[in-house]
Amino acid sequence: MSVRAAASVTASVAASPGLAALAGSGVLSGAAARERTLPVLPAFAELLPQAVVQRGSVIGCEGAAAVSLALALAAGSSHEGAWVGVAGLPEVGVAAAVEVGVAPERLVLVAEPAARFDDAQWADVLAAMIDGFDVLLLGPGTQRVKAGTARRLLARLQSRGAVLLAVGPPGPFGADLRFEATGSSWEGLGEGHGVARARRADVQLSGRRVPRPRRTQLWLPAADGQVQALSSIVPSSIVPVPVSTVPAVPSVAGAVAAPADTPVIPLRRTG
Amino acid sequence: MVPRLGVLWCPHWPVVVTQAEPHEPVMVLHANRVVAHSLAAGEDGIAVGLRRRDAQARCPLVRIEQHDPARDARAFEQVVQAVGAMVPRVEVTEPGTLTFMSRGPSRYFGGDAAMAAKVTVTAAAAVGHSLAAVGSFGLGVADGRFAAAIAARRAARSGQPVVVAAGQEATAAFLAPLPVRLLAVAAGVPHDFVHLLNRLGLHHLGTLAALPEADVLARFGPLGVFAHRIAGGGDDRLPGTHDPPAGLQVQRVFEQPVHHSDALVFVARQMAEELVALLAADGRVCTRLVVTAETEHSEQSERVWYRSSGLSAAAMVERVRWQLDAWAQQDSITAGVAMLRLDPVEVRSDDGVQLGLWGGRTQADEWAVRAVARLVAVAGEQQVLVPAAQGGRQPHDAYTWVPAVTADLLEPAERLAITAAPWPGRLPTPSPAVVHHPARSATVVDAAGEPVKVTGRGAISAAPAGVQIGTAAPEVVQSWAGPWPVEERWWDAVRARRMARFQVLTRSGRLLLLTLERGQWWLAAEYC
Repeated sequence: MSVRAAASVTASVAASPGLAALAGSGVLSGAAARERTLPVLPAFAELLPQAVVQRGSVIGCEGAAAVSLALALAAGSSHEGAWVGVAGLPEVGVAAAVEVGVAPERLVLVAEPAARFDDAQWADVLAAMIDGFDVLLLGPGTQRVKAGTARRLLARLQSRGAVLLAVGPPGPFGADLRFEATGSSWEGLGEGHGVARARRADVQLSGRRVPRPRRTQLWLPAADGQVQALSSIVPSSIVPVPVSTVPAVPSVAGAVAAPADTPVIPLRRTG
Repeated sequence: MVPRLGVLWCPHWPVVVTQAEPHEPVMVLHANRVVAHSLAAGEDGIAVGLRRRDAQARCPLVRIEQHDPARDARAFEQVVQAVGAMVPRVEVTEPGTLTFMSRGPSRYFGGDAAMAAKVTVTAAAAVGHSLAAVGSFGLGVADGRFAAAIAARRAARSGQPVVVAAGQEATAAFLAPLPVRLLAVAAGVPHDFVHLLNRLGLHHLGTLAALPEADVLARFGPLGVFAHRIAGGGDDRLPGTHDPPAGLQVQRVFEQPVHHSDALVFVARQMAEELVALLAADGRVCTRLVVTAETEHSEQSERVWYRSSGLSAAAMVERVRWQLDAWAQQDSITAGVAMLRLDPVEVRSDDGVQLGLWGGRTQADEWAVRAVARLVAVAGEQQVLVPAAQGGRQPHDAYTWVPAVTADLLEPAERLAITAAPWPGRLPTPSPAVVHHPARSATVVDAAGEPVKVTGRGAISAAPAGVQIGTAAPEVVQSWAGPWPVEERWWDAVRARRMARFQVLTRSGRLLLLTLERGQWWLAAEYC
């Protein structure tokens, strides 16, 4: 604990307050800045300069795509070697997390027992998670943490240099940055045909250090489950797909005419 | 001058602790791998490193126990005490292995062989009948830790103490015909290095020792020189090992005697961190530590702990805990503990642990593994979970959550290996970000308010128009797709499942994955 790089970095920042400002304005680059930040996926570059988030910050994810947003934000640093701890969100989809880029070998879930954690237990659990993981993904289950406990945990978060991603409306931890999926529309789903292929989401970033809310449009997720900026090239296959090219979904025989090049899968007993 | 040492070694000590019967197959698991097994289990083909399932296939009747180093250490304390009554300065290397200076006791008991026989009998008597499940204690006496440890292993196999004659030539002659693999087993040399030696044709310690030292240094560096030296019966203390400057010890005297071992361990943590910081300031790490605790009534517990790779603060605290727990178990304490002392008696220069830049183990991994251990202690074994690949058609089937204590966190390849099965019929990407398992009940109605049904042939009664999850407010369906029928395990009467799946997008923008099984709608997942 005492010899952690993060802690010493925090100390050195405190010694030279100008550094933080420089890093924030994007002037400071290189190793020093990297140690105080965690990378996010390039898709977020329009919202976050240099596609990084400051260590020790609390990020709220709200709106219709809150969980996907939180997973996408965790994916960048998870890919770079950070561990992601999930608490209060036992129903998180691992397959979706893996598709967006979270490394499953560095994913740990703390599930609440049927008898629920009380405030003191949550404090112990979250403190251990802050100590050990770089990214914490907290779901609605942690909303019951009391304000005083949350304050102590936040102090620990800052000295340790982890990043907290809170899913859902701002809870006891508040939020330094708030990502909100304001509007979203799914592509590929029709009236009784098709399959959901990708979601176009308007993501808005606001927060204390963001003077004007920034907006961008993301594929959250795109057809392969990853997150992409809408402005980047979009494979034509994403936008309304004829159902016949959708792979692997066995359709009722005869309801859909499969094209000649894809083998016809007869309706049969699978498994 | 290489010290003459006796090493007492018990093969598969964790099995002895489980109170195994003499011919009972028992295995002890850590992270789903066998770490120790009884002789009976070994005869059935169980080996250290085997996976649980493979081991069970070889011996279905095997009793399974989980590895608990603290329990091993507590149980080993009986042996340490029994032997400690005969020879001074017993040093616990790890539960199951202890080392002592053999010169004095040998002279007292009339020679190495007589002393060795006596110590072996004493140690065996302290353990009792469960020792028979793993064979017997092995006691080796030789110059230096490495030769003594190997002699002890050989003695355990034969059941007779092995005494290697004094002097470097005799030691070298004893070691010469032995495989270089023992460097990794008994001296902590990395396995990669041993493989390299084998690939180069250096299969025996004798061939390695016969090489000129300068050539070994040029080809293999300092590690090679170390291996070369111990293979030739030379001083096996790690390079840079020396006695610490006097007065480098940390001691706490409690005005109020402490009665709880938890409180003592808490103090020990501070002391250990202080000591490690003191040593680290000089660039050193402690390899041998004497832990002394004394009660108000002057009852004393003193143990020497050794670890060749150096004792970190956490390792020191762990050893203090083992010692105190074992001490408290004997009921010989009549008062609270008034003094605790950590005394490093051997230190060496700290060459540090180089953490991987790519792949391998990183600092973050170390912290995370520690955090997981802490979380398990706080929240319980069943509450701390890691994903494991499983495969399947349902959203919750692709990955399952397994308790972190049963998984090897740093070797996840096996746990997360995607099986080759293609799972025809699984839904295409993107996968839902929220998976409800078990599924939540739902209601789906058509425009007329009638429940939507699907016939056995996969025809839908009417287009869904409204959906209600549990008792939440009903929502209007904007678009939908399905039914995608799936029938699984139709050959199994109990686990068979037959269902139709739908994707339903509500007007509020929620995309739901619904299933219809036996006339009941379920919310299986949500693309949140």
